[in-house]
Amino acid sequence: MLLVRDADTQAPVRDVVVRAGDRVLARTDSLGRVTVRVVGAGTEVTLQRLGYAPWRGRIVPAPASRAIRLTPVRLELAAVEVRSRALGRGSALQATSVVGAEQLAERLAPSIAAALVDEPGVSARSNGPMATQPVIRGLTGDRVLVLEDGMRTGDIATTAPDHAVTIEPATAERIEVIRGPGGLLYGSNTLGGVVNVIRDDIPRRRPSQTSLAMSTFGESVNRGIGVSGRARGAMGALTWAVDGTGRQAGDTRGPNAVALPFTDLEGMDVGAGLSVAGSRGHAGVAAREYRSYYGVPSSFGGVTLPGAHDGGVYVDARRTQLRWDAEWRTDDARIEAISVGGNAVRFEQSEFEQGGIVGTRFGQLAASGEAVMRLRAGEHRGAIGSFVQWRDLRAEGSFTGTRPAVQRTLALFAVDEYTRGSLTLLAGARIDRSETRPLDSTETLLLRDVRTRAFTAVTGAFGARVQLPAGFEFTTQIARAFRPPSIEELYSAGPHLASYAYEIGDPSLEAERGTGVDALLSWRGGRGRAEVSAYGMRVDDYVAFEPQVDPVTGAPMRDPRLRRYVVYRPQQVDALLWGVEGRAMFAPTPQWTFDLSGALPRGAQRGGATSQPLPAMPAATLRLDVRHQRGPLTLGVIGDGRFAQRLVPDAPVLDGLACTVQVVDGEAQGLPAEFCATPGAMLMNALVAWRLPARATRWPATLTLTVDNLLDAEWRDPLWRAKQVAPQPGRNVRLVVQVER
Amino acid sequence: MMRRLRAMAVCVLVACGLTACDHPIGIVSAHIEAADLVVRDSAGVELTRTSFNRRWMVDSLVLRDGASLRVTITPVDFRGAELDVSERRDVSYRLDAERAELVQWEPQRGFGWLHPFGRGETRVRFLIWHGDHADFVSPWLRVVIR
Repeated sequence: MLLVRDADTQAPVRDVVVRAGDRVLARTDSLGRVTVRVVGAGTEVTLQRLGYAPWRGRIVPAPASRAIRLTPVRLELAAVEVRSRALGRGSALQATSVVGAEQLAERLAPSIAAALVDEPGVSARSNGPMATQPVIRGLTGDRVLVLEDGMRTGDIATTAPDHAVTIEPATAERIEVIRGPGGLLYGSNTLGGVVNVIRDDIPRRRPSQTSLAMSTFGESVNRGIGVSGRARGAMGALTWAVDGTGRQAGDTRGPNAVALPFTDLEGMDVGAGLSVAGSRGHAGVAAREYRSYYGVPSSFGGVTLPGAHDGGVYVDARRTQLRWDAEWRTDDARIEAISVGGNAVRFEQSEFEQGGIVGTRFGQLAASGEAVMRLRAGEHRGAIGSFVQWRDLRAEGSFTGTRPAVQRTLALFAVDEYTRGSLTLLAGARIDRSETRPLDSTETLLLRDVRTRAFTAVTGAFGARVQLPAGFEFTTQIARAFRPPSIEELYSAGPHLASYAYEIGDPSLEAERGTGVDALLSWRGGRGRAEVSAYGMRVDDYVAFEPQVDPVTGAPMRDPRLRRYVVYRPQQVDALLWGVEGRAMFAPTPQWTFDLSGALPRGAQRGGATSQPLPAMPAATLRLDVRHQRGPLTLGVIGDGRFAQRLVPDAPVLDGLACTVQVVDGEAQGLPAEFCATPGAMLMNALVAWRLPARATRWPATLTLTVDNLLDAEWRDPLWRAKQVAPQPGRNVRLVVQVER
Repeated sequence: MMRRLRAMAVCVLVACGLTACDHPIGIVSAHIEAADLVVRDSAGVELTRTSFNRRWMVDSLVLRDGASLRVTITPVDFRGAELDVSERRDVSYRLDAERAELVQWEPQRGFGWLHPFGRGETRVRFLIWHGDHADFVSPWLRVVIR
């Protein structure tokens, strides 16, 4: 038996993976114990865990236990691995990054997007602290696939900017981000990339002992508090997992402690799962209940955004999910494993206006399922599989623009990975059939020809990775992706209060089709790693909602009901997105680590007389994180540079409107945020973390004190929809206490 | 003990599964696409109407204490055409009064009664109620009872 301990604190280290070559032999339990069967002269093994330097050595049969001490480092020097049902766990042929449980617990961000904003190429489109969505390489909404343990969430986060992603990040085991088109392994709608939240609430392996981890935090910028915990263990033949999070926060304060109204929030998430897990696979079920109540801001300092409610809007969202998953690893020479999984989700969301009136109520039932057979033959490794999805979206209320509709999707795919020496090739194809049927075909003055639409597309990917001398590796991939128009893009007919727009769909829209090329050069050495990626993607029939112009007056077209909102309608243009991203992590000594990352995303319309930038593109970023570790104490300073975003499209209608919001005759008037440039900013953050030694407490604990926006600088985010009137949060002091056993 | 715990866990999961099969919005019936509301008395005389549902053309309604007023409420679409919803069983008119002790609403098929209960002043707003939600909420209208 091996006893794995932290070299600094002597605390046992759990979840350390013991590998012999590519094969996972075992993992340590909550007391850092692991038993590995070895024969003869012993086995060469590697011990790995995020946050520690890998340990390599030979273990031999011995009657007594052996202690191994892992040195904690901030650098993850091993290759970044991601999980997909088709290929299991491995390195993707794309730019990827992983945020581990410790980083998630350190930040305790209220949303998935906020938990990922420090990753290169990832930003957040926000409409309040809770209503944020991840943006990858400038694409968001329906073009970024957000998954929980590989399954669709079944919420309506992608349909509007005020909707939250209903996944609680605090109790996730890790979050994997795959940048660029990844439709082959994860499904259609992945033009921008994939965010896969790994929670493992259906345990895939049987723990030898009950483990428990808890975090609690408090922060000053919104007087927020929260607590989260997760536990897993075994009971008879069953393995179980439970987790839960509760959080509450008041209004967020900008610089000089000025509160931004209607940014308060409450959230609750609980989940439980049961499985039978063994060496041949696992089978289990899990249930999850998520609830949040949050405000959508509309005014700041007495100025209300054009079209917004001066009383704000509150959103009450609730998601109930039942999930099942099974995998059987066979002894067959050709069939490696058979894996099936699915979920059923009931989602409802009410949007309250001033006075408690329900402006819009959404309800959705959704179910999805996937079946995959993983195959192997010599140096080939691949899979064939199928995916089905069904969703029934309905909406009601006094101000609702969403039409009820049913969407069905069926897909078949095949993928093959071939490895020979230092070369790995990947090829695959997928065929998708998607049908969207409106449940209400009533035509209005602006919405005509409401009918069922069906889309079929063949997509695929081809990639290669070659390992070069001196620790270098080059990866490239060309991929074709596809996205059918959403229900809202096809059939919307009404105001969306939190978007400050009156949206009219177009039932004749075509599907978006993207072709992307990625090139990634990475290096791994003894004291660091670095990677730089460049990408380009052409998207045909890119859908963008654009404000409409009254053909008679030349003024912005106002909605026919209230004459209050500007009418937006989807237009299709060909678009080109390109950019570079990079990250370099270096540890010159065991005490010092430097982490430099940055991204430069660009997007423009193709064709036409002038090339217009795409609306709502993130700005370039450059971030340097310097940490000094001395025993159990870590000190960090982070410089977060956000460049100005001046590449914005020309507003189609000016009509005297400007980016500065002005009040005329009691009405706020101004251009929508996507047509307005954003100045840059340099933010400074600081961190102190103290890992309490095991002898000082019964349970290993870590205290982390962070100060974001240390200098209380006023800054605006290009993707913040209220940027014209409201700044981003001011100085925030956060204390997080983590314990685990 | 273990068997009981297992049985309880399975029951909880089954209950969650059954809950997940019930659609939050069970019935889909056509939305009342009202842009404005017209309020008339029993003789068909227009008392007031909303303008783009942002303000009332006549901003107050005067009632006599003890004298109920029979009014007809008619929704108007964005083209100005009056909508007839009298046959819609899932649609009704409601009244929301700031001081409910002063004025109350008694809905009838096709019209309704405004009952004043004492002198004073309050604000009311009309709602077109569709199933379990409002399809339309008017601005506040001042009501004076003399």
